[in-house]
Amino acid sequence: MSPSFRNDRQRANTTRLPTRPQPSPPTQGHGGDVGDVIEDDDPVRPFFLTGGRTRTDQDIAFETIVIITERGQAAQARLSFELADIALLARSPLSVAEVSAVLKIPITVARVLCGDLVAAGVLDRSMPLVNPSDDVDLIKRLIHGVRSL
Amino acid sequence: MAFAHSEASAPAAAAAPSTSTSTSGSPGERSTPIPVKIVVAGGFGVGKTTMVGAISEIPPLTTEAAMTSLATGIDDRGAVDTKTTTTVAMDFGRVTIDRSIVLYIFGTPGQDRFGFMWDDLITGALGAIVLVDTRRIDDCFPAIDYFEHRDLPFVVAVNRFDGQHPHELGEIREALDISPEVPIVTTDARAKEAVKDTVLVLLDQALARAIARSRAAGQ
Repeated sequence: MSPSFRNDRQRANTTRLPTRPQPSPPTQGHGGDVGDVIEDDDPVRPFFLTGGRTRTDQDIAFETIVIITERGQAAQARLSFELADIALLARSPLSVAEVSAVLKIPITVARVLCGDLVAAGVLDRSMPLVNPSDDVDLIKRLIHGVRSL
Repeated sequence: MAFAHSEASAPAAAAAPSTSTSTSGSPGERSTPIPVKIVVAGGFGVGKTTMVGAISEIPPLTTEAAMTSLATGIDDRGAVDTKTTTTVAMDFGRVTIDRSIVLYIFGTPGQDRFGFMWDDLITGALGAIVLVDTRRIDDCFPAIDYFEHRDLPFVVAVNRFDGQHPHELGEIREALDISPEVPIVTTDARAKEAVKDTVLVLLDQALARAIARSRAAGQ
């Protein structure tokens, strides 16, 4: 009886933690809560900007940094709407995710538009490293930087 | 799209600040910083955005992704591939490390149903922090399952809500059933120093792993 008595006392102090079940193979799940889901809105207009495209030939990640080129500065006046907005923002380097957030366009659309502007020579891009977690020098510099924040 | 490409007609560019950039070369020589990304994952309401905001040099930004998922199933029209569009929000922040490195910290959309977006988000990430609320510990299980199956350094950070931490870290480790190499720490998602420490634990973990790998590769 004493072990169960001890368990009861433990339980009085702390609630017991559920144990993580063995992971099942990943599924295209539909379960779960709606957590971060925003109420579905109409995605039509943003994609109109990209002609319905959700892909770009250019490799554009969320954190890819873009900056306007000299050619882009010269062409800026001839760019229209969001493209001109992006060119203006990119006078100082910023990520595609920031472009999306500032202009309030979905990240998918920002990636396509930035990709188009890179292809047109209006923007230069700085892409993330392929395997940053293997880059000893990079990680050391990050540690140094974060320590001195 | 059509753009004027005449280089000669660009006198204004000469007066502009130098924007010569290159996508090659070592980070130290580039005028455009390279982006590095880490992600903060965990259940809804666990404090991911708070954590991002605690360390970010800018207030957390939100980007929205309209996502279309294809689900094969049967509905009242028979067997169909159903497309559903959902909008999910991701919060992120920025930390300028030095002239040539900018660290971006992304909070993942909370739920496992967005696995395919995670793949997109996690590609190229340096590592991940799984934020845990012990009152709803099972909320973090999908995130841990996810990172265990990716070749990516990650740490488990137990968020203290108002100083309450009724569970020992060992007890939590046991409940999460994580391997001994995965660090587990307590943190306070609201406090810059605590969040810095958590990021440093992740970076130390990544460094140890990278050094071990380069040694293994050198043999």
